[in-house]
Amino acid sequence: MKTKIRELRKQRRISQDELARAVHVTRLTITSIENEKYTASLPLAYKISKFFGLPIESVFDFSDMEEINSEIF
Amino acid sequence: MLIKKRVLRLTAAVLLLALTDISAILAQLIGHAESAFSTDFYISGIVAIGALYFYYRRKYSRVLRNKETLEAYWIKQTDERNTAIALNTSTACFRLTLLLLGISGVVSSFFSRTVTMTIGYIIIGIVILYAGLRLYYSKKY
Repeated sequence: MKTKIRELRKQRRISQDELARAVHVTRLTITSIENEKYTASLPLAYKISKFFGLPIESVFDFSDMEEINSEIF
Repeated sequence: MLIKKRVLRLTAAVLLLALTDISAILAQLIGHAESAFSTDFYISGIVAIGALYFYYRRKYSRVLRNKETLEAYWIKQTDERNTAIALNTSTACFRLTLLLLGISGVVSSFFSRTVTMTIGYIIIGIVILYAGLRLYYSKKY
């Protein structure tokens, strides 16, 4: 899943480690989410969005999921 | 809480194994043991578990030294990516085990009926266990 985490982090000059500590995950999890290798769970997505003070849909791109839905149905 | 649970679990495992080993050694001494191999097997088991016990005791006492190390350990243990990795590893491992057992069963059928039957019973046991756990978790969630 595409996200704006890296972009938001750089804007606010926050390291992966700082973000990871704030949302209680390892730095590798943040790296994997940024590299689109791992999709964050809903609670983690909520925590990350809350950390940046933005709604979930502003941080995570759900357009892929809409494409999947249109492919299935 | 997480560490306390793990220490308790580890202690219970060590005690259980120690009890089994004591009975095995007693059986050997009295002369009722099946073979010296079984006693050696149990002794190796208790040595390995004992070593693991002391390793984890030391690890946990280090983790509990201060708040930062405890928090880092807690994050590492509860991290959702690590959990997903462990889940995928377990699933793949389970499927591979069944596949390897199946292959072993077919290969052993050319050589030994006893081995084939044993493997067959193991596969049936695993499948029953899987079905039972699946039922349990489908009711839980």
